[in-house]
Amino acid sequence: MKSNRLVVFSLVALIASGGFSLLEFVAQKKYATNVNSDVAAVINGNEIKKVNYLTAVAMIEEDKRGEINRADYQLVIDRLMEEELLFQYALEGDILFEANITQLVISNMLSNIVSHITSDDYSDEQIKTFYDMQIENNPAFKQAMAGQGFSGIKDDLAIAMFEIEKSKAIRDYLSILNKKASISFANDNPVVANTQLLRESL
Amino acid sequence: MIVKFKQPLLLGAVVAGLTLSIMGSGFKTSLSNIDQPWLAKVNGHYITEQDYKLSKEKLAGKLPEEQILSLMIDNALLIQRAQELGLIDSDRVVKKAIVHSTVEKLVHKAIAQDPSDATLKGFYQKNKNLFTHPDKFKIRMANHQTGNDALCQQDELVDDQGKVNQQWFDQEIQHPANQGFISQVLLHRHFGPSIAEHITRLQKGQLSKSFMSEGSCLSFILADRQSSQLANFENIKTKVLGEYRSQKRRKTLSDLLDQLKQNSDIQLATLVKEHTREENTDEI
Repeated sequence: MKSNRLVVFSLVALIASGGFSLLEFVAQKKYATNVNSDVAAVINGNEIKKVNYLTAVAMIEEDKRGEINRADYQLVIDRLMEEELLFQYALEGDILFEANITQLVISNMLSNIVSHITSDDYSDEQIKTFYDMQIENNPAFKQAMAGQGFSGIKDDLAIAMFEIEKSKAIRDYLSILNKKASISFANDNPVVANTQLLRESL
Repeated sequence: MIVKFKQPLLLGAVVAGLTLSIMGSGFKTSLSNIDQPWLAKVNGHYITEQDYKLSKEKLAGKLPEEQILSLMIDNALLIQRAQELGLIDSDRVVKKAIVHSTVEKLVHKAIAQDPSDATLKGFYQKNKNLFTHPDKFKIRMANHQTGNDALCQQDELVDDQGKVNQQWFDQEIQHPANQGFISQVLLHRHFGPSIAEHITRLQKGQLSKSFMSEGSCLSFILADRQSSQLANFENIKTKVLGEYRSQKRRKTLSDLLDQLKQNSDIQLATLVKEHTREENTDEI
């Protein structure tokens, strides 16, 4: 009796998961065909925006200084489609981890992470608090500031606060990503051992 | 009997269910094994010893050695996050850089190895038209100084035997176009299509008809002609190699694009279909 219930339960689970997969497939298919009117083409589910198509058309129109013909339109859509196809093809490999691409992507990511921080946000009072804290806790800073008044270095301090805040925002963000990530290391490698120690201490 | 196979059946059912769920959800698994030594694996992305070595060389003196792998892990996390957020798809600059880099890599691989002499010579033979110097023309020209269309006639410039008379030579002028042999393209540029076309049809020593041009009455004698000739392979080997590479580059790219197009689901919006009168793809 008990094992029969188990069979039924397993079959229900199997049917449910199959149904779920089917639903997901249908939803994806629907998305691929039911697209917005601001789309010029859909390539393997990725959209080419109409605004990009029309901008390229306008550029050709400007170059020709006249009306453009069917061949020009064809050229525009062909180029955009080819770009999208090559982009999709590139992503199948490890292109994102190539030095020049990594640099671009990371620089954009970092800009996004710190985009909410601006140097104008600090009041005199905040800068003074930062200054006092540094004087109290940072002997090197205290030594460097000897004989200099707060007002003379106020702007520099604001910049320093800005940089520290940005750096903290990035560290916090990375810490969240790190916690969510699955990271494993190769065994018996001194580089790995040092890195593991370093990351644990962060 | 059924009882005997119940357990394997159950196990099979559960496994099949799980497989279907994973496939249906579009979850990407990194099942491929890496064939080179690696140091860390970040959400399925391997950081290999080779990657580390390259970064170490690049960052030498800029970052303490023990922080390099950690930085690479952080970079991998940021890139994966950027991908999750769709920042890579939506950024035109990044997208263009990715496409550019892919094309460069592809064509670089295609032309990395130089063709053998025999292959190159075969290419040269097959594409003779690309390495043939076109006909060149040496002309003399005269301006008969008349603003009158009707007076711009050839009759008074030739003698009874049809040979150019002294009057023509008295009115001969110097022009950048008659300083040496020039191609039909240059003739076209100097005198326009109809005069250029007419000159190229003259026999050596023959006088052209007269043309009114901006108030001047011009006529030409074809002094000499160099017939088109195929350049010697050995003399233009570098040029042949350049052309070979250029064609190979174009072919590699167009082959890949053809293949990608064939294996892709491409749908065009009505507006684009109207613009291009495309009939062969599904309409959105």
